Amino acid sequence: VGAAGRILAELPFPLNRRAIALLSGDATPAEMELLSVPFENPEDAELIARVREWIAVGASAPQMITFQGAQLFWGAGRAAVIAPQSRLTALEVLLAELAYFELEIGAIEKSLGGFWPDLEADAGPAFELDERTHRNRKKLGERFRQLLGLRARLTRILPFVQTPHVYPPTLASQVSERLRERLRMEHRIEILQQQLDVFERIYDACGTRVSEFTASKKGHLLEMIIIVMLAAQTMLVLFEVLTIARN
Amino acid sequence: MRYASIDVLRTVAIALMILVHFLENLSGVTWAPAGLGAPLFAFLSGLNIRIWTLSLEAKGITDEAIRRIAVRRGLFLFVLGIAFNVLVWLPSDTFNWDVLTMIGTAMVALAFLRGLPSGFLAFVCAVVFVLSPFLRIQADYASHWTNGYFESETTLPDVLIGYLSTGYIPLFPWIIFPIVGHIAGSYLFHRPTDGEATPRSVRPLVTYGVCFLAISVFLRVIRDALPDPIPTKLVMGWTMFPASPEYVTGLLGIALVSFGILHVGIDRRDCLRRVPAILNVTRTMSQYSLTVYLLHHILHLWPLWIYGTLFGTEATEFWHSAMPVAVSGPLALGCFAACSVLFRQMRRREWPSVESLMRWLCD
Repeated sequence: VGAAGRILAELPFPLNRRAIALLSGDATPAEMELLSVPFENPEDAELIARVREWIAVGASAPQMITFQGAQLFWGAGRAAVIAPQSRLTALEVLLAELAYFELEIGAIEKSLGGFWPDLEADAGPAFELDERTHRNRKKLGERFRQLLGLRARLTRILPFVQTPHVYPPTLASQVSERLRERLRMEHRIEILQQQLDVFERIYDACGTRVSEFTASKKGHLLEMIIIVMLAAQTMLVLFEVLTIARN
Repeated sequence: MRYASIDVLRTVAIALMILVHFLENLSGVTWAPAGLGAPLFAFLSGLNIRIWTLSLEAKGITDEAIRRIAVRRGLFLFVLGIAFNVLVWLPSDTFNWDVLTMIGTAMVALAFLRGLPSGFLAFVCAVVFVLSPFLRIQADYASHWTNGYFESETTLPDVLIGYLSTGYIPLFPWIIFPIVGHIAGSYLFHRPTDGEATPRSVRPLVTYGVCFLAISVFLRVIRDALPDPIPTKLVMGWTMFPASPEYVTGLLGIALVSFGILHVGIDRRDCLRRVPAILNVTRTMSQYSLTVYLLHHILHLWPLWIYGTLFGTEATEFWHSAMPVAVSGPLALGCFAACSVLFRQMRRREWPSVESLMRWLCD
């Protein structure tokens, strides 16, 4: 879209992100390809067919929205907009924002999906911890931190994805609502929150067990030191008895 | 997981042991490095317990099962040590408390202690180190030794005192060597689940080793300036029987420094890759170290006892005076070479050994 390095959209605080246009041959691959077509007649069947063909690459069921003379398409890693020039910039910004949210949700879903095998392994220590699991406490802590990171990422985009209807409505706000609905963003976020709740409950319990185990281990160590000292004293007494018995 | 550095160090200990035993038992010559083999052996056994338990953990064997196997192996070694005394040193020396009974006991102890922090194990070692001279004083060490050899009555007090303090290789202070070996192993070798990608530096091991050597030298230097009875009862100079504080600290230092240097040179920098023959020999000898220990005793003591029975007044008549060093020395070298060839064949053909018997019985 346009010249390389051009700022397409500046995402609001606290996201602090910018959508920047890249050239197709750029070393850093673009996370989202955006096709922006200024056209006064968005109902042109041939143009729509060509854009559909472009958007369908890699997408099983690309989404299409027609709204107030603008055509918007959404596929896997690709989005396209056909609209009159006067509306194009607002729609580009909207698509860039949505692309960020979609990518964030997708990334969180993927990361969380990778945690399931670990979760199954870590469910046991949430109830009872043994020595071997205690040795893995750094890994448990690391997973908990990663989960908190995912929760933070999700919470950060939440106000923008679950935003109420804007009044008075604009073209961008209405298209945004429809696309979010089509992409099931709110539903996916709800599912992610429920999954994160389960993960956090388990790792929170693991953390409690690890703390208890560490505390009891320190207590045991002190007891063991006392036992060693007593054993040393007993050994001296035993030797005295044995020597007397020997003589 | 095998570490070539451990194989090399153990082979050195075995070679020294064979040479020292042949020279001493056949010719009555006590050679200067006589006290090096057993402590190295004991240190490496502790190191090996760590590596072995890690491999069992990697196979998914539970801590409880590992403990049971370790206890069984320890008891096997203990019983083997007693049987060895009866069969090789003759029944009168049943309770002379040699290295096998000590390593067996250490294995049982480490089966229970291995999960504890290294700092605590070091504390146990310090207590054993401090206690040992006082136990010897309490037990009147000299009264258990006649003409430089351990003589024990078969009474419960004598047997227990010998096992703990006055035998050849008693628990106090010898158990320090396997425990320190285990501590060194715990520091260097980790579980894959511990999440340490880079190997740890051996510098702390070498530093501790140098400190132990410095303590040993320091004790040796100040000994003469110390008031009685410290030089005669506590700081006794470089003696293996009893294992004096200088000897224990000196050997700990030698073991830690030599292992640290060899681990870097051989395991990490692969210095011996161009001489695979050496690695082959050391691996074979290390793999069959227990069998070598038993076999070399049988090879040189049984003929001595038989010859004494046939041509002397008692079985032990020619002990220490059977032949000159010019004969016993080459015999020792021949024994080492023969063992090397024999065990290579045993490995190739998977013949049973004492090690395989232990695994079959205990694992």
